[in-house]
Amino acid sequence: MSSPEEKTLILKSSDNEEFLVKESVAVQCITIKNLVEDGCDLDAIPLLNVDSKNLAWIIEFMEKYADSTSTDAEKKDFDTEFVKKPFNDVLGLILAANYLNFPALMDVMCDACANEMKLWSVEQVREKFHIQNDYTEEEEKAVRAENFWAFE
Amino acid sequence: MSFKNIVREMKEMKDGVGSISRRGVEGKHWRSRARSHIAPDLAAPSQPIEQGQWANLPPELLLDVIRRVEESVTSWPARTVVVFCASVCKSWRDITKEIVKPLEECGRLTFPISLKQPGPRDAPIQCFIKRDRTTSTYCLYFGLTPLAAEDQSDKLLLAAKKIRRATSTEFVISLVRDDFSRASNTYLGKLRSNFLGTKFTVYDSQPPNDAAVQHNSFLSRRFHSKRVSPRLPAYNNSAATVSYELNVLRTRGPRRMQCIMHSVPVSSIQEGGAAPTPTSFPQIIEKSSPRLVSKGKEPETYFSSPNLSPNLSSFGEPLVLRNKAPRWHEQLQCWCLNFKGRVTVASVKNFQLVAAFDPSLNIPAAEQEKVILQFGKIGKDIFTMDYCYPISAFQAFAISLSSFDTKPACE
Repeated sequence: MSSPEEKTLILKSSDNEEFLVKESVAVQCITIKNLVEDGCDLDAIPLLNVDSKNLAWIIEFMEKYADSTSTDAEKKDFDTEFVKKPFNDVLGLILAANYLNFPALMDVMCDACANEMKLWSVEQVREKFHIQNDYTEEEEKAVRAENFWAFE
Repeated sequence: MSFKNIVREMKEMKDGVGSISRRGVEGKHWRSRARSHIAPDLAAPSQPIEQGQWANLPPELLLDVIRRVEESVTSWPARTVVVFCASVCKSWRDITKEIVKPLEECGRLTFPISLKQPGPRDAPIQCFIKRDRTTSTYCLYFGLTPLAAEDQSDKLLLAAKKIRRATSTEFVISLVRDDFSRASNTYLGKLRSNFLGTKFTVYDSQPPNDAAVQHNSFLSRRFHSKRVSPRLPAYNNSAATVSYELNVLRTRGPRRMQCIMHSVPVSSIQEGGAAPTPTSFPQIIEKSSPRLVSKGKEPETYFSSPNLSPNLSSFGEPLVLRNKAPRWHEQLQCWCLNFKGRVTVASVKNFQLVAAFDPSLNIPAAEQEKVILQFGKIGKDIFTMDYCYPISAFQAFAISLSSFDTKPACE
C-alpha cells in the first residue's frame, strides 16, 4: 500500500470537472479528511455544492497552505491577493469553505468579507448580500431611530 | 444528513460497474463524523447564485461573519458598521443584537441605547465635553481629547442646551446637537437647578418599568409584541439629585458634592449586584395620535445579574455618590486630586465621585475607592469626563453639567 503522503485524490466539481489533489493537501478540508479516514475508495470524490471555479481556487489555497516552505509572511501576502475578488465570489468561497469544512479558508474569507463590509452603508449591505428589506415602513422608521448613529 | 450519504448513493448507482468493490459498502460502519461544520442541505445540487439566496445564508455562518466584523471594529467611527448590520433586515438585527453585549460586558459603545447602560466595571469610558458659550450648548464626545483635525470626526454622544429661566436653569439633553425639543425622539431628559444653584435634579425621559428580568432575551424580542401597555406621556422621571454644599472653610475650600442616584441601587456595587440596563428606547409615540398606548415594543430593562429581583419596588437604597476630598498640598499651596493625567487645569469645577457607603453595606474594598465619575478641565471650554459602572453616560453627563451652573454661593 502506498504511503498516504503520495496518494492522490480526484475531486470532482458539481459541473463534473475533475481535479487531482494530493491527499495530504486535500485533507485540510475536514469533510474530505473524514471521508478518507472512513475508508472511502471511490474513483473520485463528488463535491456537489462546489463548482469548478470555486474548486480551482480552493485547491490553489490548499496547496499554498500545505506547502511547508511558505512562511507566514508569504501566506499573508498570498491571502491579500487571494481575497481580491468580486464580492459574489467571496461569498461563494465562504459557502464552499463551509461545505467542505475548511477552517483556514473560512477564516481568511470571513475576515475579507468583514473588512469589505466596514466600508459600506446599510443600503450597500442589502444590495451586496441581495437581502430583501423585510421591514414595514413603520418598522424601518423605528429601526432608524433606534440606530440613528448609522444614519447620521 | 451528511456527506457520506451522498457518496453511498453514488456508490450504489455504480453497483457492478467499474472498479468499486462491494466490500466498500456493505457492513461498513460509516461513522457520522462527516458532519459538516454547518449543515447545509447537501443533497441539493449546486445552483447558480440567485437573487435573495444570500439572504438564506445559514444563520450560524452569518453570525460568524457579523461577529468577526464586531470584533474588529472596537472604536468609532469604524464601529458604525455594527449599527449598519443591525439595520439591514430582521434576521440581521436579531443576530447583531445577540452578538453585541451590553456596555458593561463589552466595554464598547455600540448603539445609542449604550448611552443609557452602565459603564464597564474595570476601565472607564473616556469622553470629553466641549462648551460653546455663544449657543450655550455642551457636547459630549467619545474619545480621550478632541482630534487634532476638525471636530466633525469626533463621535458625538450627547448634547445639552442651557436655558435660563426665572427661578431655575435647565440643561436639556438630547442625542443630537441641533434638536432640543422635548417632543423629539432624540430628547433624553434634562437637568434642572434650584434658584440658588445648589441643588439639581436629573430627569430621565425614559421611565423605569418593572419588566421581568431578561438576560439573553434579545432574540425573543420581536417588533410585533403582543403586549401593549400604556406608556406614561412625556414622562419625566427623577433619576438623580445633585447637591452642592459650601465647604466649612467657606470660599477657600473645595465645595462638597453629593449625588443620590434614584435609578441606581446601592446593591449594584455590592457583591453580585447589578444595575438596571435598558436594552431599547421606548417606542416612538405617534405625534398625531392623542392615544398614549404604544404599539410594538415596550422599553425593556434587564438586570445583568440573575439574582437581582426584577421588581423595582424592592429597589432598595439608592446609590449615593460623594466627591473625593482633595488633599491640601503644602508646597504647591493648592488642593490636589489625582486625576491620573486626565485633568490638567485647576478649576473649582473639577471633581471625582466615589460611592458613599455605610460599613454595614458590605461593599467590596475595591469598589469603595473606585472613581465612578471624574470630570475636569483640560483647556478653554474643553473638559474630560470619564465614567464607569454603575452609572451610564447619560447620568454622568447630566451630573457633570451641574458643574457648569456654578453660583457665587457655591464657590
